[in-house]
Amino acid sequence: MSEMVSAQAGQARADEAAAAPVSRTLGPWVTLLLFVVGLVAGVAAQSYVSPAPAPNPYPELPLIGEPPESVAVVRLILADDARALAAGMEGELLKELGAALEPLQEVFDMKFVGAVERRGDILASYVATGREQRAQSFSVGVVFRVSGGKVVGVN
Amino acid sequence: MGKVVRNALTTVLVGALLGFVVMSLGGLLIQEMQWFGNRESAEARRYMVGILENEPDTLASLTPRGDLVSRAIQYKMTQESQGQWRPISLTYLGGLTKGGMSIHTYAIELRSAAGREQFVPLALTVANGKVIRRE
Repeated sequence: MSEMVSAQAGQARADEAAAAPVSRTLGPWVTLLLFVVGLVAGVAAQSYVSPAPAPNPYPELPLIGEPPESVAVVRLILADDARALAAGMEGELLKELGAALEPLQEVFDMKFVGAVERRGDILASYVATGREQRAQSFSVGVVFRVSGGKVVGVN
Repeated sequence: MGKVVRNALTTVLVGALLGFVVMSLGGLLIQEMQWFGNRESAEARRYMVGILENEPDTLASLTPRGDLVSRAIQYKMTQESQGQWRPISLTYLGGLTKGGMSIHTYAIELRSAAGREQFVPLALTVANGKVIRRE
């Protein structure tokens, strides 16, 4: 009888010992799975907080490369060459350029971002970065209109 | 059993936090470094569609709250331009993100009621989810 009780107690201890690690730890695969579930949930939450733009309800024009006419003007702006700029552009166009670059006093960089063409009329877009009056760095969008092999407008 | 649930929840939370932070910082870094070009902002797109669809409330919600007269002028301009121009196309040209500010440029094709067509650019500066400059 005492042998039977002792065997039962031993079995119970063995069961308890076998069950203990399972009940107290998750195991590497379960932990990894839960971590991945969390990661996916975090990515989904971030996408919800900063959603992608809604679909464009209008047709889009195909983007083209940087036109050489605007490249020439950008080169003069970056070279800070007022004399060459005056020689190459009409007075009205210079005023438009000044307004487009407002409030920049000095331009360090002009990055081409994209261009489109419609019936020989090209709009070439740049982001100009420079120094404004209070010597702080600032960026503005500048769009050159190119037609007939020359820059005819600046926005 | 309670400890197991706690461990499981902690693991999921750590994963979620990491996923959120990596996506937020990674997205900003990718935009700043221009690795895959500049991503168009949802606010800039909504603003552009608001202009083309003559939606003064959308435009007001996406611009910093100005004084009463400025807001009234905005509504007046929208009312007056109602039906004068019909949009033909809207193209995102590209942009640049620097610090907390991003610049987005667009090309728009419009046709007037009289059949006259216009091809115009527009550059928007977006900061903190608001369009702070339009040129």
